[in-house]
Amino acid sequence: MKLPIGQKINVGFAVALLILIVIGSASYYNATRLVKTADDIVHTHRVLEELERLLSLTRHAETGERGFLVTGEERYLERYHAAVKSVDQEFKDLRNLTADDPRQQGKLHALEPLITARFALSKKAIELERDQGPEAARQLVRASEGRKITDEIRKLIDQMRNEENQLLQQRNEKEKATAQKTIYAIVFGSLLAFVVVGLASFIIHRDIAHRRQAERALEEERTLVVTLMDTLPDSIYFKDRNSRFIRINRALAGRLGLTHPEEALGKTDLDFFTEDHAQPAYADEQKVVRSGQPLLNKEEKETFPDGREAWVSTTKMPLQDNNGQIIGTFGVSRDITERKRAEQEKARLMEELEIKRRHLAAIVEEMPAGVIIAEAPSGRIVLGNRRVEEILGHPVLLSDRVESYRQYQGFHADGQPYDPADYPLARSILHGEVVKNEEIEYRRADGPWIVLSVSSAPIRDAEGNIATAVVTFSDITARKRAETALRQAKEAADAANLAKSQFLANMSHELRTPLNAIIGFSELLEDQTFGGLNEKQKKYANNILISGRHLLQLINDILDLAKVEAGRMELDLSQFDVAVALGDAQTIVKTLAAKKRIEVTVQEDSELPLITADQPKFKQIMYNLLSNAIKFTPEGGKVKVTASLVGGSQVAGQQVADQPVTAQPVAGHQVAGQQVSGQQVTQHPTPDTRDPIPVVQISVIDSGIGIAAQDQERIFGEFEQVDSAYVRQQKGTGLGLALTRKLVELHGGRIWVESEGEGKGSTFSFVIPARAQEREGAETAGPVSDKPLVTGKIAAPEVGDSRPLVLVVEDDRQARELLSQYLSQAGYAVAYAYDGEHAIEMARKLRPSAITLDILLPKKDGWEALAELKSLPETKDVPVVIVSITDDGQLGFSLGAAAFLVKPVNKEQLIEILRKTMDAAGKEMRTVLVVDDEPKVIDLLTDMLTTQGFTVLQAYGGRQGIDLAMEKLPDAIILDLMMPDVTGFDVVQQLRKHPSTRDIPIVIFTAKEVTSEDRRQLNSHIQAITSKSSKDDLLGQLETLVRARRKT
Amino acid sequence: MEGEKILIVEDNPLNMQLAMYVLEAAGYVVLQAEDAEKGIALARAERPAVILMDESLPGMDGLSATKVLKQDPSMKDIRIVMLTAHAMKGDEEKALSAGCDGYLTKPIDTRKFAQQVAQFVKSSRDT
Repeated sequence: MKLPIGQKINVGFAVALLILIVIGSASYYNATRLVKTADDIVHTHRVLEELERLLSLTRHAETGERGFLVTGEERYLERYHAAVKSVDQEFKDLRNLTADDPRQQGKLHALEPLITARFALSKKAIELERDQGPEAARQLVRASEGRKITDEIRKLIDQMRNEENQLLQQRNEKEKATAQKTIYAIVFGSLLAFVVVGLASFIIHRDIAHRRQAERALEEERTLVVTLMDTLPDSIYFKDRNSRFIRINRALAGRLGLTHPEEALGKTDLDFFTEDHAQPAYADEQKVVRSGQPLLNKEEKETFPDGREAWVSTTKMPLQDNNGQIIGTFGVSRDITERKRAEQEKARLMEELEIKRRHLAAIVEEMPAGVIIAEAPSGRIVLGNRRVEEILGHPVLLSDRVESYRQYQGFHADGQPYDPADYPLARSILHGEVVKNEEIEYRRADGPWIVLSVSSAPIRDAEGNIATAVVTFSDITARKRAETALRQAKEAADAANLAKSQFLANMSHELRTPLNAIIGFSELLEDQTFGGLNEKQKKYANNILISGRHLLQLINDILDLAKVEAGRMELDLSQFDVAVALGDAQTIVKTLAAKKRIEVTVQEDSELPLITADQPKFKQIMYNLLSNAIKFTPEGGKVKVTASLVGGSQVAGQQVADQPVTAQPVAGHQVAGQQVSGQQVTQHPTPDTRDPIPVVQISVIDSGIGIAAQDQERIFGEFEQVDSAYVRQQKGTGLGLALTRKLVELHGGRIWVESEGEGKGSTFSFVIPARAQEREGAETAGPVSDKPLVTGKIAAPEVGDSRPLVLVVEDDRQARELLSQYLSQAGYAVAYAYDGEHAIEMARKLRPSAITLDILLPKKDGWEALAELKSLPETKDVPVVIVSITDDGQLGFSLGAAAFLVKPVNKEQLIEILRKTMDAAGKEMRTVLVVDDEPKVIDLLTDMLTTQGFTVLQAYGGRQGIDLAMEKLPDAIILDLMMPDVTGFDVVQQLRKHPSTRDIPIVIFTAKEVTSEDRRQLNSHIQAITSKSSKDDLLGQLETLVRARRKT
Repeated sequence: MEGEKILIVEDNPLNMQLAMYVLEAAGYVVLQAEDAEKGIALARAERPAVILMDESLPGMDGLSATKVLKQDPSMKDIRIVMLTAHAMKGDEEKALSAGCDGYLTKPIDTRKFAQQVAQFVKSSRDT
């Protein structure tokens, strides 16, 4: 029964009560009936009693009469009188008692006259007796029917008594039955009540058990809720309709600065928060209360009473009572400060990322190299910068898989097309390969073949899987051509060099063979081995012998010189004592000197160190100088050798400069460089200079013929001798001093001569470093230092130096000195730096004309320095020549290097490259437009011009030529005359019309015979006309024109 | 020392003559061959003490001839001296590595030549 327990109890009780009422009623009814029955019984008994008494009264009356009659005694009459007196009352009672019984009433009616009659008879008898005497009375009695009436009375009363007894019996039975029924009713009713009560109590117990269970569950539920509320970090609160707190959890209490949550009861947000927050919160809650709609996840910033600020996410729900009436609100506020912070951080990071992405995109877009990025593993191309189109001639082909790379027109060097999976990008995608500088021949969309240098690398995600790959490439066609040209040039030079060596070897051999006979036989003759000779014969034989030996000496000297110049003479360094070597030399020339009675003295400093040099060559130098001195000193003259240690080479220079006479030190670099240009060379000693390498200066002073000022340089040249009668008498190959100079320079020293003039003796001096350095390539080394090399933080050239300045960046001292020698010999001023940082500092400060840059440098390596130099506005245009042992020219070029030299550096190569790069850098305008309908001619000219450092624009016809000239404004135009459609004449006319192209120099390069009519037509606008057969002229003219234009 | 056989392999007749005169004057018996093949044949037949071998010869050159002779066990005791006008750097090494016992350059010094040869004759006899 789904009734509430209360109702169940009520129903149970009601049923039980009803039963009790029924039982009670039944019992009452039965009891009343019993009482009535009992009353009836009593009544009947009384009727019976009354009847008995009536009967006895009757008897009393008879007895009294008789006694009286018999005795006549009056005493007997008392009974009679008592009976007569009571009988009426008795009848009255009986009539009352039997009022409800008509039958008894009837009988009573019948009885009454009888009794009356009887009593009346008695009375008559008594009276007779008294009046007539006993006999009358007896007569009467005997005569009367007295007896008969009495019997009648008795009979009636018996009948009535029977009647009553019968009634009594009936009533007793009825009473018995009623009692029985009552018992039944009670027993049954009680049983029923028991059952009902039992049932009810079972149901109620069961319900109570359920209820207990429910209560326990409820209790558990409550505990959970309380725990939940108290342990949740979120703020939970219940408020009434007026936004007063009804209940809050611990977390909120803590935030509000309360010790117990109860403290908040009855308060509002205004008690804890500023109005700024409390007011909107109140409004929100009111809205929820009014609308019954929840407010979900509202994010707002709160300032708690302790001043802490927090972001919270608030949800407010209507709070309803059991009737569904809204009695307030229920809210949860979650602290989302961390999340918010994370979101803000994320937003910030995203923004940064976006900025980086944009930077990257800009870099990629603006990079000088073509860039393509593709996804792995599909190979889908997702990005390509605009250089791609410039280089390849077509935009990025947005292939969606590696297979479709087939569209790209790359070819291997052997002409085989690239398989799609062979492209560096595909290899990076598929195998994670890192490709560096792979050269791919590529057919541009518009036809020309170019060479690409392609690098590619995979980009991996955090798990190390290949995510994308990026390929970069640049067009190295021009460089490849230049390299090819350079390689060919080098091969040609090598071949020439080899041929020269071969020639020298052959010449030596072929000359020695006959000389063997000449010298040998003349010796035999002179020795008169096979018989005597006369004086003349002997003299002639001697002449042949001397000439033969002279020739042999010549050959030997030439070979030595050639060896030095071919860079094949090597220094065999050893440590030796200068004094001893000088003594040896002195001994060798002793005989020679003795012949002319010339005294040779040696004067050396006591502190002369052991020097490191090539001892035989040192002796050769000394022998040459001494024999020269002896040769040119008249008999009986003097030759003096002095040797001293000087602090540094510049001291030697200074000494020279301090000479009062015309002292013109002759040094290799001047011969090689400036002497050619005819410049006067003067040393400018710099006071604040030091050279850490000690040098030994040796002078050979003679008292001979002296040398005129104008000859003092010349005599160190090959086959040069002072042209004088005396000299001509002397024997000499004219190679001795040249060779001597080379030997000195080979040691890193220099040699010069001083003389006050003819007839006043000469002093030949040379200095060599106390420690000569072995040099690969064995260049003709210049002096230790021409321009004093400054050590220290900054090596700066002197102010006012008009020579172009080259900044040498090199950390190795020896390499630095070598380079600076080469450079100063070639007429450059030199400054240097020792590391990358220093290099940048120096470059910015000095603005050199060029920089030679080593790669392996301390602090900042050459690559970094190069990149930085190229990024700084004040240094970006300074040409940089990389001089390194690392052979990675490509990287150098890609970073902006002008040239790349691998150590050991060849001097001529260095100087040549420097000259070219400086020229190129000096001329911003080096673009030449070649207009010719003959592709071969264009290719030829392009090759020729690019190797000369020009940028070449190609036009395969007059129309294209005009367009290109207008668009690119080249520095010069090489123009063919005979072209189909638009001829060279048309081009000239067109360009002359336009102000911007009017002044571009044009060189006509034609196979056509140019007539005077043509010339007239071409007018003065044409700067030069060159036949196609003379390309060298063309280059020369071009250089001149471009240079002239640059000056204007 | 005198009477020792010296073989000269030399294609230039004047130089052959010069060397021969000098050596004969010193008392040696001089054998002449104008090319390598003859030189080798003569060396095998005559077993000279010393061979003066020119380097540049028609046909087989002196270096190859030296190698041929030095590979022949019966010939290897013969002193072979390269007598050559090849006086460039490296030429001596070339000669010695071909198996020559000595290296003399032309032009010869006639006043020392016999002495120079005598040293090789002596060393040949000592073994």
